[in-house]
Amino acid sequence: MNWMYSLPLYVVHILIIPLLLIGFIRKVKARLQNRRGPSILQPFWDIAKMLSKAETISKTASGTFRMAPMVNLSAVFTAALMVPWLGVPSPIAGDLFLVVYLLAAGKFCIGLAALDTGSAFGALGASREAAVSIHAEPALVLGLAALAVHAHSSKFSTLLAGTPGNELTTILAALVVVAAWVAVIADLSRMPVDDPTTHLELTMVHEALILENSGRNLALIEYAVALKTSILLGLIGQIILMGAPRHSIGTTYLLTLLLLAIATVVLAVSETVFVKLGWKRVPNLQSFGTGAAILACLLVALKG
Amino acid sequence: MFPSSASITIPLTLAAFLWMAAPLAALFSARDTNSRRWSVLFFLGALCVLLAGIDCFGHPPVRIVLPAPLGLGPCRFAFRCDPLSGWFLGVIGGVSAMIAPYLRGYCAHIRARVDMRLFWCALSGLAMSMALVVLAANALTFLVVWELMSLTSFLLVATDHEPRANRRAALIYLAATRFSTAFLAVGFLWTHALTGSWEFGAWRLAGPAALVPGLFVLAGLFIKAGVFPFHLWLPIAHPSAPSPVSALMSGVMVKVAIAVLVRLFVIDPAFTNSAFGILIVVLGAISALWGVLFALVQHDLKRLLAYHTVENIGLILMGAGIAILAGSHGPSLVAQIALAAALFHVLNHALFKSLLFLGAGSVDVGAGTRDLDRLGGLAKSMPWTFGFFTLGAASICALPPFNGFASEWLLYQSFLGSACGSTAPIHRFGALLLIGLLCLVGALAVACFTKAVGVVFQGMPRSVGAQKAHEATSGMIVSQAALAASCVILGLSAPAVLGILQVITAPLPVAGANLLAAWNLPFGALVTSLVITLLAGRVWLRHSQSRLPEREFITWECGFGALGPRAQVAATSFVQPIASMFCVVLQYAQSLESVGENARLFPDELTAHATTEPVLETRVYGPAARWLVQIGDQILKFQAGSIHLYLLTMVVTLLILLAIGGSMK
Repeated sequence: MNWMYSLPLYVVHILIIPLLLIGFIRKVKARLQNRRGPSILQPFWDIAKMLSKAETISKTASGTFRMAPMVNLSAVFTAALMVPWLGVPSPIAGDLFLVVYLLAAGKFCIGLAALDTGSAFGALGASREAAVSIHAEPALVLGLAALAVHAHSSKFSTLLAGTPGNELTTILAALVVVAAWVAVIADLSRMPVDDPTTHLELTMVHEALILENSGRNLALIEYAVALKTSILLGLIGQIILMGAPRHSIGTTYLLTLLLLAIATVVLAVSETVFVKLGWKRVPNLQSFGTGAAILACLLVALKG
Repeated sequence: MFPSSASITIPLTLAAFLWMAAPLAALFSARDTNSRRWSVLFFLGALCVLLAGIDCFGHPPVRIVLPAPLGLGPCRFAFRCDPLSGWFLGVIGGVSAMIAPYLRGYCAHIRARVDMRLFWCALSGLAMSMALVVLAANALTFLVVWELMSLTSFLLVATDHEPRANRRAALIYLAATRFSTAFLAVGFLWTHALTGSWEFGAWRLAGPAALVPGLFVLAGLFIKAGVFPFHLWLPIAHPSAPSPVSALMSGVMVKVAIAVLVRLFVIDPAFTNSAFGILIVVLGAISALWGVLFALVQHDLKRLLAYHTVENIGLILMGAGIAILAGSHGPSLVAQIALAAALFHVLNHALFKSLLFLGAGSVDVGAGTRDLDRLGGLAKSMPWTFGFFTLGAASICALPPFNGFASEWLLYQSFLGSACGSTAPIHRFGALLLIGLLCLVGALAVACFTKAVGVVFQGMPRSVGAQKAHEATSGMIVSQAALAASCVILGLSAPAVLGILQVITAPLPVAGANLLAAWNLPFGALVTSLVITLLAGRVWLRHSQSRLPEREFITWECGFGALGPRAQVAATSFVQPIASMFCVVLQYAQSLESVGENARLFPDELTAHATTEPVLETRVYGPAARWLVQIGDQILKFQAGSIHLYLLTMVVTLLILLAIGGSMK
């Protein structure tokens, strides 16, 4: 598909899907807890509220703190144009390593901003996020690299094409989905690695990182996280679809939306069922992801 | 001398004259001489070398042989100008030229303590000898200029020799260079015995015959390059040298060893054996991980950067090793990509590591310390240094779209290519694991530089020095600006660089497509998207700020009252989660002491300690050095000045020799 068509399509989805997804997660969680919960559209109102409020900034903060959320969002937005997370060819032909490093660039900025206020909580959050990334990024890259070797290219368009009906592709996709899922929930600070709804500073990871942010600054970060959630879940959806028979672009798109909804429900259920892991046990969980990725590599190495 | 070599000899000779004129004139001036003249001469000399480097691409390889009086017996002083040496001349000249404006401002800070005449002599000598090493065409010429390089750099490390730690660092460095030269000399003599020639170009050893001399040469080069397990001098010597010298040594000098390695083992190889490829890849991988892990737990900004040099040399070696391995299976594009990745990373690392060392030097001058626990909040007092240092950090972490990413991406592609290209499962699996390792190293580097930039430049100042910090002089800023600009430009113009690398890697046998086709990243679209979103964001932010002005308030302190700088997270605590994951490698241990009547529940005072141990130094090199000294003590007993003992020794030796002689009959 020409980028002239896919670019507007992607931009529209980038504006709508992320916040809808977050609202949907909250709704499902609330229903599972026998609550009515806020409307699915609540995240939109939240963001609108934050944007209309003046921000409060620490006296210690320098320009980094003011600019970082913008740079981060810009990196995540660009990544969103490079990953075919909607099941439609992305406007920019993305490369696996480029996308992972682009997201890391965003994290680097947010980490610096957290240290900028001199808050121990922010720094703690930054330190823990970095520690989580040390496991999550290699697992994600290794898993996708196994697919890349299978497809002989690190471009997402080729890497996710697969060969339908091929047993190897199916097993490989299953392993990579496990690896990517564990990496992604850790990277996005979801349960059981981190509880996005907690408000006890000492146990928080992502919430501690952004403790000092408020107003429009916070809105940018929240939106970037939501966007990143949809990109990565959409990417996992594409890996699942690798095993399925080929369809037209329209069907793939609808299937992707369905898978996004399913992923959201799975996320909500797992957040209701599991409790947050102790910080020291997080690496144990993440080693499952790394293990699955290494298995995928072994499979590719042995079977081509 | 060949007539066609005229165009290249002119800039080289000019550089030699300029670089010799500066120290000679400096020798006749005052002890604390720090005139602008010296840095201008240094700059001009560097420009000439850069020109010579560019010129090397203009014509077929040229050989320059010096007239007989400078000959070394049967072997003449000879230099070879080809694209490979041109590339390294470009790195040497370019980085030296960009460091030149920094020198005067920095030296004003040390001139009272050190002998500046020696400093200028040694600096010019180092720059010149580095240029000659990459040009050397035969083993004897190489050893002479290599020694010159070792000795001048030793003098530079010893520039500020008042503190005891610096003297110790200089001596350890000197010892390392001795070992390096010794290994190289043995390797060269051995090769000479096997081939009968001193010329690098005439050496053609392959298979088992190449193994032993090749290993000696590799060991010598590894010591100089600071590769695991020979890196121990690097984090000791680099912090002791003045910052522009650290920049030159870490950015350029360690790469000179890489130049020789590439010449003797990869392009037009003198030693051919795929075992070298495996060894280089494995040691490169260990160096990368080891370097970044130890960088993570450092407190001294310059030592942290020095450990990152170990990491980056590891990355470069992985590329070189993959080039050897891929090349050994017949012609392949992978070998070319891998070598291009290694050479590109040589240039990139030279730029951003020099930039970071210059930034560390500015911090040292501005705040009076390099100790991470005494810095903080410098972003406000040193905005320029902060901006350039952060850009350098982003480049070294390989964040797109800066130059570090371009070369690391090529490295990823070469791993991917060798995983796809090979049929042996073990090779495929190994290459895939290297991808994971490179990503792990990248994630650790991001963590490390979040810590370095965050603790040094953000938050509140942790000492009076940091509170009163002042921005560097304009010359020092110009240097950093030039290096930062080249990091950005090289990142964006990677295809052009690949065009140059295509010429250098041309001697490798290649099948099919060329190097430029391998670069298929949508960099234009990426940069457009980033720029548009950032500009739009900036406009919106301006508008929004004027409508809803921000409000300043304290940092959240849980209602306990004003936060002091000591309540901030320190460098040690920032890396605690990661360091404890790798506690086996780092020998990381934490201890908590609580004092008070009810010490367990209500302590009056709490002290936390985190310690790491450089295992290699304390467990291997330390005991080995002590053992050597002990043996020396034992041998010393024979030299006690007693004539009886000497006579006895002689008689015993004579008897043993006679016995050996008799048994041989």
